[in-house]
Amino acid sequence: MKGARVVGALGLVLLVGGYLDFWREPRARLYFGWLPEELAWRLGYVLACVLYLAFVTRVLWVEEDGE
Amino acid sequence: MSDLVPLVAAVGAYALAVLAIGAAATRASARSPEEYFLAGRGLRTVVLFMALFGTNTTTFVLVGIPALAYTLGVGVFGYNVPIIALGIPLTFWWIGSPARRMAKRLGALSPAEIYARRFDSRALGLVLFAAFTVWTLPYMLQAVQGAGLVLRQASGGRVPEALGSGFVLFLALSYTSLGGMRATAWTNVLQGALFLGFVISAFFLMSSSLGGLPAAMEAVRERDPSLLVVVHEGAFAPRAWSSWGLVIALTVIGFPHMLSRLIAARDERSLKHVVVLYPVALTALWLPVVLIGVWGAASIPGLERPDEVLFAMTARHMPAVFGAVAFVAVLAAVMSTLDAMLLTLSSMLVRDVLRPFAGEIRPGTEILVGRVFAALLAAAVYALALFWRDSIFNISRQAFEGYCTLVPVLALGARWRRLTASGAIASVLAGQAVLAAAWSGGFDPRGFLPAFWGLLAAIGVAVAVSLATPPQAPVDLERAFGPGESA
Repeated sequence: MKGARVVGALGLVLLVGGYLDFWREPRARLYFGWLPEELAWRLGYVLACVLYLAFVTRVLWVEEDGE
Repeated sequence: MSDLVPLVAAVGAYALAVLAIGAAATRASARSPEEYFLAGRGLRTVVLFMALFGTNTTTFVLVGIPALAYTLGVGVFGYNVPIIALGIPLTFWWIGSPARRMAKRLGALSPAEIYARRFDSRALGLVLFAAFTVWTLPYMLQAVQGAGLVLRQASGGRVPEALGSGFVLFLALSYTSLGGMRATAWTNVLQGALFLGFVISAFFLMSSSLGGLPAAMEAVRERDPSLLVVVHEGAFAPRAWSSWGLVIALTVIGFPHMLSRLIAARDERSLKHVVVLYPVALTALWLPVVLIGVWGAASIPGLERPDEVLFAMTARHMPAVFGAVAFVAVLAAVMSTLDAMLLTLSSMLVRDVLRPFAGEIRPGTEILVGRVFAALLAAAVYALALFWRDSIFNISRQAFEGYCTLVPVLALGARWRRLTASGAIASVLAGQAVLAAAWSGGFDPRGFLPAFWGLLAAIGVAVAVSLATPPQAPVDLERAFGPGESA
């Protein structure tokens, strides 16, 4: 469980860091002819959040009231 | 006048549907205050998810966000969605889950009552009730004003905003009073399906009308390429960006109407499912509304009120009947929040204000008083909506900052046994005082949002005062946290 908590904490730090992405150069490039680079990056981020939350609910979140 | 027929028909059908749901829930909700205010703590995954998602979605998203994207571009998506996709579900786990367990153990029916009983402190219940109310009233206001604005636009100006706002409030009050939490949760399923269905349809139909996705985006790039990027200055400057991220990620668990939904969950498994579904649904809703606002900047430049961009785009790029559908979708979003706020504030008035002073009240009387309080609240909100004018985004932002400063007490109260009633009360007051000082120009927030400083003050004061005051008795802690719980 301790290892899982460390992974959880590291994942959270990485995700918060990904939101504070002030180092990225602004570019008006369109992927697939329509998807702005800015949105593509953010959609990838949301996908990472879904994976992270699946990890949290399966591993870190212990049901404590026997439900 | 004949062009109003689709609007009247759509609104009429919607009103009948939500009233029918309210009526269907009446008998079960009348059994006890727990049934009326919390649907008997029995919401399962689908209804729980739609109740939370519907409650969380209001005119801020459907009207305010396209308006902001119209002005600032796609950066509005990155400014909000990634951090709420992470923060909201995490707070459901970290705060909502232990708060739900405490509410069940202590027999609490309202968010403030959980903490009042956890600390056995009537004063804390009153302080939390006051703080929740202070921030919920303006949040209700923006929902009601948004509905009035939309009805005026949908009717070509023939239905004044005051009439539209009044109609929406009256309808929400009617089915909420009839069926309580059960009615609002069931109607939220219908409402969520309506507004989510509309924005996804609008996304495809509008992009098709604009010549396809590549043509729509190319038109934006030709008009103003800065709408497709984020430049970290002004509203998106690093300090404003990071403190807004903090505010919007934390604020939702501070909404008493969200916490009420969470404590109505049947079990933890339902909550876990909601946590994973939430980011997916947020993206499905926010991506279309942001792009509609951005496309509007190229397609209909120069709007005097950017708040009108969703409807202007609907009128220009979708078949005529969708004008009525757009209105019903926004109406659904407004009411899915409004009903929850009316119910939760009335539950707090009964459980945290009236009951501690009036003593035991018969269950039937408690429900009746809840209904009367909801009606009085609706009247107060309507009066405020007529006189307080500001942009939907600004009203929402102030409310968000206020809720955010309450989160330390909600989190520490659910997770830290050493927090005391004095620490909790001092924390709430400190957070509010810092916000008030910043907004009145009492100090310079140095590029951060005032809520950032309010949050720091609330955490610091909660910890300092708690450590300086005697801890709660172990027996009281066990009553709240249960034997051997890790929190």
